[in-house]
Amino acid sequence: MKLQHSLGGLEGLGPVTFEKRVFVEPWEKRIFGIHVAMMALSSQLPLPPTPSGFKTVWTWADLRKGAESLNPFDYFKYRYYEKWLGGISGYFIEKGYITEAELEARTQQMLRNPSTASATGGDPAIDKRVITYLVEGDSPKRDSAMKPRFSAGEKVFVKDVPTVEHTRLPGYLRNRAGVVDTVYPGTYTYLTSTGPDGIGEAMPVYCVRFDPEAIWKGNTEKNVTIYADLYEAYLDKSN
Amino acid sequence: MNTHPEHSAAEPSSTDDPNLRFSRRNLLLASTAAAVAPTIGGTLVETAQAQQVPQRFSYPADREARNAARALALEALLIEKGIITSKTVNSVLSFFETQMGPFNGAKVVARAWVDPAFRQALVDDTPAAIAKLDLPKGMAGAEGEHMRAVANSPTVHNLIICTLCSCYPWPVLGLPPYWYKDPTFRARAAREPRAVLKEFGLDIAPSVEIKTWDSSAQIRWFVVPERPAGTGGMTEAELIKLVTPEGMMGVARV
Repeated sequence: MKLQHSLGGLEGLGPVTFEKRVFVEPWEKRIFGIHVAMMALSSQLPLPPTPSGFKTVWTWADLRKGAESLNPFDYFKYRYYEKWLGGISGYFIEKGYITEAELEARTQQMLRNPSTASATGGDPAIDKRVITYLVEGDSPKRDSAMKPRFSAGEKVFVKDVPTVEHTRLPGYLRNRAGVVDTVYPGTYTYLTSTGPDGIGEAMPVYCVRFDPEAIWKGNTEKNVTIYADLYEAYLDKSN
Repeated sequence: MNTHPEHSAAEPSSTDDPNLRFSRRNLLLASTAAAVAPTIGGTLVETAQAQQVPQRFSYPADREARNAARALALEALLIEKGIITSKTVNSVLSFFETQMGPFNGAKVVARAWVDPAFRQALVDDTPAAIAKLDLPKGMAGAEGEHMRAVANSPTVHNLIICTLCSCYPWPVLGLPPYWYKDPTFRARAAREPRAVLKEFGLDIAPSVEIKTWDSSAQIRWFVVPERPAGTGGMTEAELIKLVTPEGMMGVARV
C-alpha cells in the first residue's frame, strides 16, 4: 500500500489552501480535455467505433494508478494536473502512439514559439462520440445473481486487503469496524481488476459508517460520523 | 513564456513560479489559521511546519512554461495522428461551460428549498428527482451515473470528500476546484473536519453533527445546503443565484 492510499487522517500538513479555481494555468484545460477524450474513445465502451486512432483502454483506473504509483514526495510536489500531464504523456509513449523523442522535440518547438500553429482537422465522428460519452456516462451497475452478504444495521469489519498498485479502500478504514448504513441496489463492477486487492467483478457495494473516535482515538473531533462507500470484497463479518 | 511581466527578469526565478505563489498564500493562511483554528492535542507544530512549505521542494524556473509547451505539444501530436480532432478539447471544455456545471446543481438546490416534497424525493432517490427537472441532457452521464444528495439541517452538517482521488458529481457541479483535490484537504477533512471548515470560514457548532462522506466507490455525493435566513420573499430564480459549489460540497454556507 502506498502513502497515497492512506491520505485520510495524515497529520502535520498545515493549513488547507482554499483555491476555488478548477484550473490555475491555461494548459491544464488542455490535458483535462485530452483525458476526457481518451475515456470517451476507450475501446471497452459499448459505443459505435470511430475513425480515431485510439485503440486501447483508458479509464479513471489508469489515471489513478499513475498517481498512486508516484513516489509520495512527487505526489505532494506536483500539482493535480501536473500529475495528469505526466501520467497521460507516459501512457501515449508506453502504448506506442507517440515517442518521447517526438514529444520532447515538439515541446522544445512550442517553448521557442508558443504561438506555433496547431494541427487542424479530424473526423467529427470522434467529437460526437466524446460528447455521447459525457451525456450517457459509463455506469458500473450490472445485473447479477449475487446477493448482498450484509444488511443495513449490521456491524462489519474492514479487511486489510493486499493492495499492489490500485485500490478503492481508503487506508484509514482498514482493520476498522463499521456499521452498514445503506445496501446499494444491484451490483457494481470496477473499471479494472485490482488483483489481490479484490475488486473488478460485479459485487454489492455498501455505504458504511464509522466513528472517527474508533479510528483516531483521542485525536479527532466529537460529534462526527464518517461514511464511506465500500465494495463487498473489502468487508468481513464482525466478531 | 513569461507569464508575469510585472516582475523584472533580474528577480529570483521563484517569483515566476506559481507554486510559490501558492506557497505564499499558504504562509498567509498559516498565520490566519494559527489565530483562529483550534488545534488537536494543543500543539502549534502544524503552523511551524506550514511555514516551511516554500523550502520543501525546488522547481525548475521554466516549470509552467514547460508544462504548457508539453501539453500543447501532446495535443498537437494527438491531432496529427488522428487520435483526437482539432476541436475535441474545446468541445469538451464548452460542454462543461454550458451543459455540466454548478449551474445545474444550483437549480436542483433552489427547487429543494421551495418544494419540501422535492427535497425529500431528492434525498430518497437523487437521480429520479433530478430527472424530473428541466436540465440539460446528461444528468446521469459521466461522473453522475449514481449521484446521492444529502441535506443539511439545523442539527446535521454534511461534508463531501474523496480521500483517494477527486470524485465529484460532474453533471450537477462540473469539475472539482483545487481545494477539493488538495492532498492536505483530503487528509485533514477526514480526521478534523471542524478545524478544516473553520479555516474555510465556516464555524460548525459542537452540537451540530458533522457527517463526512468519503466518495470511495460508485456514488458521487453532493450537499443540499440550508436555505439562508431572510430569503422567504425570493423567487426560485433569485435563489438559484445564491447557491455556490462550495455550499454544495459542504465547505460554505449559502
